Amino acid sequence: MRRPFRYLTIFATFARNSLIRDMTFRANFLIESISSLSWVLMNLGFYILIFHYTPSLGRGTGWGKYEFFVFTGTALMINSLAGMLFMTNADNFGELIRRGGLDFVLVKPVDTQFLVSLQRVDWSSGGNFLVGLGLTLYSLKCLGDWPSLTTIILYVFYSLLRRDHSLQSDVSAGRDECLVGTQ
Amino acid sequence: MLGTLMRFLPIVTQIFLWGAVFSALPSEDGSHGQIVGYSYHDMVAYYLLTMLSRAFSSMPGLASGITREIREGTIKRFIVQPIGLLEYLFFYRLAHKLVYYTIAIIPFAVVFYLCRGFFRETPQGAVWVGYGISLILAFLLGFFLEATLGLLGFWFLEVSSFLFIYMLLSFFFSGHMFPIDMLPEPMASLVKLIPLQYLAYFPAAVFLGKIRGTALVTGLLIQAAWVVVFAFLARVALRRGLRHYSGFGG
Repeated sequence: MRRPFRYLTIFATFARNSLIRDMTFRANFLIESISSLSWVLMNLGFYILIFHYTPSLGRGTGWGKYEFFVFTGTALMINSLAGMLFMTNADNFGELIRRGGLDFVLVKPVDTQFLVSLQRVDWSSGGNFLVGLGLTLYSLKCLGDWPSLTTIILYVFYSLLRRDHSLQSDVSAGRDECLVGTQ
Repeated sequence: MLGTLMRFLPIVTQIFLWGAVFSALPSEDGSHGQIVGYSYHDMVAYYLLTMLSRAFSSMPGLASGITREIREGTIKRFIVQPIGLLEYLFFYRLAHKLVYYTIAIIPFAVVFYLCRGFFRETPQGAVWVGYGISLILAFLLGFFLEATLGLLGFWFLEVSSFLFIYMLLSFFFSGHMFPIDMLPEPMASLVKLIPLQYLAYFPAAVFLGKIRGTALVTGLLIQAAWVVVFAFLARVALRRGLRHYSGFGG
């Protein structure tokens, strides 16, 4: 098998295994999806409320309601992609080092970076991606003018470039902080 | 201490966000507009004050701690030892808060000093008293509410998802995220009926002088009534739960 395809097959296996694992604890999966979804919906509710009182964020900045929701939707998609593909693995990496599991990763005949970064796919973060996509499309529809094909391609390209780990972990840390509350 | 200081970071975001929101409001003669009676300064002050209310009312780990005791059976010690579970947890929590905030008062003071410009008028005597009472009641309410939720563990064993939903709701409807007057009308009245607002919104609103006179007195009475209700519920849940509970071995 040629190399690039080999990695694709391995990734497909990872994705499949993770899905099987998630489906083994279906209720847990459902609860996780719902809870991250309700967090997103709550934030959306907050911004809808804000735009109930103001036509735009800042005078003359052009950030009206739907422009802002395109932005939020995009951020949501990027975050959920990062969460889906990398977050669990990034969290797990420290454990691997601490418990010595990294040895087994190092001796495997595939690229270590690949194995470390993509071994688990967190499917429950995927729900937010759909919400983000829906939100973006809906807001674009409300804005009225559809972007050109070039813009769309560039949009996808830049979105993929910006999978920022630290951002995502900040977001979830922020969420936990907010919910758990002060000491 | 640094951690406590970090907790205030979201305030910076709030300052920018609300600055942008208010700058776009239609304002007459150059002065800033208002949203449901909150000026820009009131809004930021409101967020700072909810941080303070939450310092009193939030009980991290209380409900989940109780369910863990139930699940793992360590709750047995409260049956055989001559101390009550609720009393023990209450004084433990009280002591923890006292010690923690003896230290954490420093970052709180620093932040409030830096943000002093957002507080337009300092409240007068009676308001201070009302504010103090509402904070103490917020602590009591937070404790008994979470304890009641935790004691549900006698019947459900695993309540973490339940707790998550509660935390989401309380974050949204206690006024921690925004002043609940901002909600559109049927919602606002509805949210003011449930006890969550007394955990964050009510004390802050009292401080800002939004609730005065008889409204303040009735508000405090209702808050106290909720405390009594949940103290009663927690006690009933504990008694029923212990009857329901069975421990083996150990």
